Amino acid sequence: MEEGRISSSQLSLLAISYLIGTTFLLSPGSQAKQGTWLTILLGLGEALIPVLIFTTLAKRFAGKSLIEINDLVWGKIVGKLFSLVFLWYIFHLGSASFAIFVALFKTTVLIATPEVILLISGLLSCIYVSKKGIEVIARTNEVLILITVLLLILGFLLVLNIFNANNLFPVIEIPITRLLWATQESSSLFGQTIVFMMIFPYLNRRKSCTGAIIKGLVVAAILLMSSAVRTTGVLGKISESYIFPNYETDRLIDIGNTLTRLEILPVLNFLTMGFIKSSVSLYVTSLGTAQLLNLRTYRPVVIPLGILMIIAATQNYPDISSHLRFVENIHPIYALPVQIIFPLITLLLAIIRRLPCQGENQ
Amino acid sequence: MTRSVVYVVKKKWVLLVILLLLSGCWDRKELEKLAIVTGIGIDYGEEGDDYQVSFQIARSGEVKTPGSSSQDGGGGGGGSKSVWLLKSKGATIFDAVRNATLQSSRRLFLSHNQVVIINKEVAEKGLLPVIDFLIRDHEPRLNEWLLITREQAETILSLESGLEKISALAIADLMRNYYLSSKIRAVNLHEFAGTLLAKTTENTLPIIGVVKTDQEKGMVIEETGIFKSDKLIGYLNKKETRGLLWVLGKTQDGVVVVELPGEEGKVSLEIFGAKSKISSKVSEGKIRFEIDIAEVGSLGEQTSYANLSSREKLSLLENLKAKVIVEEVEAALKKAQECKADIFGLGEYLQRQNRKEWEKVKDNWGELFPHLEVKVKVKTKIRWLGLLTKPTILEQIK
Amino acid sequence: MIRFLLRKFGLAHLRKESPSTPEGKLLHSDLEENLALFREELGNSPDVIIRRFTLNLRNELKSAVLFIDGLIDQQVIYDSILYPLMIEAKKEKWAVKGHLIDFIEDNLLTVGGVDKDDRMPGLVAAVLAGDSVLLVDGCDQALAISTKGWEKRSITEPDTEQTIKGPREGFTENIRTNTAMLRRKIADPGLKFEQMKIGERTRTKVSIAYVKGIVNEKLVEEVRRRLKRINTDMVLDANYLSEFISDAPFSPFPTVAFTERPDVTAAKLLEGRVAIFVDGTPVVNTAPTLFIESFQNPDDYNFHFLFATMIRWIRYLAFFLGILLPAFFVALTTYHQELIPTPLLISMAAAMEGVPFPIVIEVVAMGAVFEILREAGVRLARPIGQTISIVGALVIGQATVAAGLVAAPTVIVIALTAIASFVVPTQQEIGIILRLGLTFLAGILGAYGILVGLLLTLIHLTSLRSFGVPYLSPVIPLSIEDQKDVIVRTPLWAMWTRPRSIGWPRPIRQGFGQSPTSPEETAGKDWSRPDDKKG
Repeated sequence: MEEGRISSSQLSLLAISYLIGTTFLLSPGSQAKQGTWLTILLGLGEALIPVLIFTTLAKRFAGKSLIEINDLVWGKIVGKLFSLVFLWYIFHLGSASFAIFVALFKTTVLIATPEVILLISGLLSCIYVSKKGIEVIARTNEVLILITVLLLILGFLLVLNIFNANNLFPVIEIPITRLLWATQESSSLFGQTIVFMMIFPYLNRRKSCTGAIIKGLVVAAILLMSSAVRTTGVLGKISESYIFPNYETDRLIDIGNTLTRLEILPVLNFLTMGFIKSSVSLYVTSLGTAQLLNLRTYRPVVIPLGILMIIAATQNYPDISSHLRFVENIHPIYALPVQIIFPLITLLLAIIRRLPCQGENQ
Repeated sequence: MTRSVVYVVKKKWVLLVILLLLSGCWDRKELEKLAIVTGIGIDYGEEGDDYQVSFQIARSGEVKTPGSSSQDGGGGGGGSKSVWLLKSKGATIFDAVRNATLQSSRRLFLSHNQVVIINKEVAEKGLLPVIDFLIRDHEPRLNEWLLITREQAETILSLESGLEKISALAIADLMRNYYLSSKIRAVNLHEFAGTLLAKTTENTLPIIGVVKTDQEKGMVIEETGIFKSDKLIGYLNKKETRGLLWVLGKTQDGVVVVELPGEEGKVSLEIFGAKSKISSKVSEGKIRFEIDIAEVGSLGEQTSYANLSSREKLSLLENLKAKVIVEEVEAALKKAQECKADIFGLGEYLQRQNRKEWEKVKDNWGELFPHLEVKVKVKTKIRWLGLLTKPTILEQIK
Repeated sequence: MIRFLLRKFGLAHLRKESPSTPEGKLLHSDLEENLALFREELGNSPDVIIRRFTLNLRNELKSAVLFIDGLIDQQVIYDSILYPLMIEAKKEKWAVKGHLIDFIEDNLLTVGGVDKDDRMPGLVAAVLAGDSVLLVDGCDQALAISTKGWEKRSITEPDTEQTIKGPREGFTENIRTNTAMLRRKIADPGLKFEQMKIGERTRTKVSIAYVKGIVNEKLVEEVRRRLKRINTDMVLDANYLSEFISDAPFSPFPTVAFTERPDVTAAKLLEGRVAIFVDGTPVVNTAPTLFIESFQNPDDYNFHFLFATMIRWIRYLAFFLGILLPAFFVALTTYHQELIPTPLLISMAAAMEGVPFPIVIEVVAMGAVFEILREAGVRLARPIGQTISIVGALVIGQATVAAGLVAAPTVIVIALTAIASFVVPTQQEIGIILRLGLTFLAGILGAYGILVGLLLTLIHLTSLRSFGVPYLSPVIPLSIEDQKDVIVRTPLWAMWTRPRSIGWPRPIRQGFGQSPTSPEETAGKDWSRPDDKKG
């Protein structure tokens, strides 16, 4: 179904983009104020659990995607149910990504433009790249992530004159329950990399999937942490009042009254990350659906799924604060079944049933 | 040939793209159809509950750029006005903004607003109802300067600046140059909003007034307002304002005038930069603060005839300067303690340095503040003398 | 039978060099009948010359040389064909052994290329290509003798690819001259040429050139394959070929490069590429082509590497300016006025006061006007062309601004864009399309539209391959060591590997670590003075 192959470094870069995707706009853990960067670190540690589980599962069934694994382990019917839940989750992530970006644009830049138009234009690129295949997605991502990292560094430098280190202290002011909850938020964010289980079969070297994902996680965590530090340092206490704290930080950039009003650049930049997230989600959903339904190729499914995704984006969240609530309150729990529980029991069952038999592994 | 054209057109995405192109644009704001607002003034309306908001709108056609082809011969200053003052009423600020379109042929564009001037009565009732729009809406930017005025805000906005064509830009430049005198407390919207969320620190805002000469009226900033939360409660004069700035570490330039004992004349000592360090100590249940200010400066001017370049004289001057600084800071402290407003951020230093103590007192800071012991220590240095060693006059031996 | 079927379905391949006309007629033994055959094929064109003479070998044989005036080098015919056959042959008259035609070929014709043939199609093709055909009465075979020679343009510097410090040679329209020029650049025996004739009516000679040992054999195979399947009437220009063999025919990005310079061609061949020469045009195609090549100019290697690096960056900047400037201008002034600094905004608003059209329309219209001016300037004869551009620029620009039809900032933007787009000549074709598309998108959705346009372009670029090589190598997929000719132009002694994606059969091209250093012996010595003690 997919002839392309990607290298493990391309996979890491994809993972980074996927994780950065929307978190630079709606950052989880912003409840933690000064402790945000700490929760990211802790979340990274906690996320190693799901990552290890699903990469072990993938390596055990080298060359098979999650859909196929579920079929093998659970049998045709139950396996397909599990796969369906997984695909729905990825679909949801993709539509959430669309929703966030439309929200950003409608509140800041293009206010009067109907959502549909924004969604459709974004969807065009996602469909185009999904149809081209994983290799093109990975290669496009290489360019985009390079630009993103450069702009992030630049964004940090430009902000130094309004950065107030005092805003970062005191660090440990948050009650423990909030800290734990925020950690779980970050962890469920990092756990979203389970989406790449569908892409592992197309790696050049199958065994390198664990390393690639972890590398991606670490880099993404560093980027998120530095961004959190930057935002907290510049905005101080206001950061929790804003819906898009990173955007506000960029709005304040002002060097010598000349380098100012630059906020559109980071916005466009994060849009490209969201594009990658949406494209990967769309691609994985299409690929998974095609495998689920035993189709010959996934390409015809892309457009219908894409349209459904943007419809879902408009319908799922009646207002932006419910979206915020989803990210902060619901997603940490909602993600647990897909990210941890299902892969874990699948792995356990596979071990018990001594699957895959030797003949099935290539 | 035709077959390939039909093939291309039949692809659905081409149709989609054409659809997009034909559907028109929504957010298009043609440049000529914008009224660029440079200054906003907020007063109470006549009915008392609603607001009268004045907008200073730049008349681009009249702001002549050098070399642009202008139809009427340059009228110089006096000619057609380069700004238009639009006044609009509304129950809230946003309401007033939209009501302005009842009078303006063009849509108000707030992204280039430089200053927000608020009447003191509005400030006394509380600023949050007024600034929420400025923060929440995406058009106004957070680095607008906030100022209070005793007059009507619209009066300030209708003043003409001596140098700039658009007076709001002049006010903004005034704010940006606060450090030249270090007697102006310049605060932008971002800082103000941030301090509102602080538990113990209180806000201050500059107060702009009118200075009258025979022919003209001009703008001047001479006071600073003290706030409790978002309500205006007190004032600092120029000296006290600088005292505040010494503590905040925001003095970068400016002149301290000292009088020489025993000799006639004053000396202007220029400030090159100052740093302040605030430390908190808790002993016997009492909280003490120590403010250490280190400053470097030069001898800028002397009206005395004496040669002041010797080390002893300079040391003397340094001490005099330090004394003046201490006076200024203590004056500011006194005023702040009278108003029970911690405008210096002392509470935050306590929070960082003495957590436990802070936890005990943080809810009561307002009452506790006037009773705090604050010691001010100043060290100054005079390292430069300008271009002269001694005044260019024959030394008069007394 | 097979040929009949092939003909029926129009699938006759070009095999060997015979056209798909009915089977070649055999020659007769009689001279007059043969000449009649020729006259039947070639008609009575006045440039078909038949020179009859008497050949004195064995007997007095009537013979004729048939050629097309204008295609032949007359001197060769006189000196190497007519003279030996008419004068020298007398001496050999009785020494003829065996077949007469073979004897003539072996002993009498002092010419380089001689072919024996007895079928009409081959002989007619030879005559049309500039050979002379020797017919002898009584022989049913003829000799096609290479006598090519015609008016050629001398070697001059190509107009479009000028260098300041490099060689001034450019290819000419004669393929043999071109291949010879290439041979002079690459004296390696590995340089191979493969020739084929493409184009039913034009029978254009096309040569594939590559350096065996450096090039990837699969690439040559692929080029060969693509060229072989071309079935067309005419190949008049290099572009005719490149459109047939390109990877993505609908993409505005070229996957086959052009050059007119032998030094550039040689450099590309030595990196592992393949060159395609086309007779009749000085333009040579090279494949595979990467996006980065349009930014590489032969002059880069003639200047100091720091300067060359700077110029490279200016080229990248100019490219992006040329595409993005009008679009950003439209986006900023129409949708995102908050991003323009306040004083600038006020001056721009002042300048645009009273202009009747939306900025999108203005930008597009002025862009179109500019393209009209440019095209007019190119097509007109030199002196008038220059006048037109000056008149056009001054009058139109100035007058429209003064009349208030167009705002001054718009004219400035268009002028800057135009100049920027000339910096990278290859990108002119791409630039116009992208510029237009992005401007429209900017006019609809502002910066978001630009982003969507750029994303679509990027995706297209990353999915593009030129003969199997990803188009955006060596940036994507990233190859750090290849950046030595992308981000910077490293000194030549540091370029010790060939580009990974193309030259991998033989990656090392020069010794490593050859940065010039002073010899150790001179440390402390001053070589500017003579060595004697009295100095």
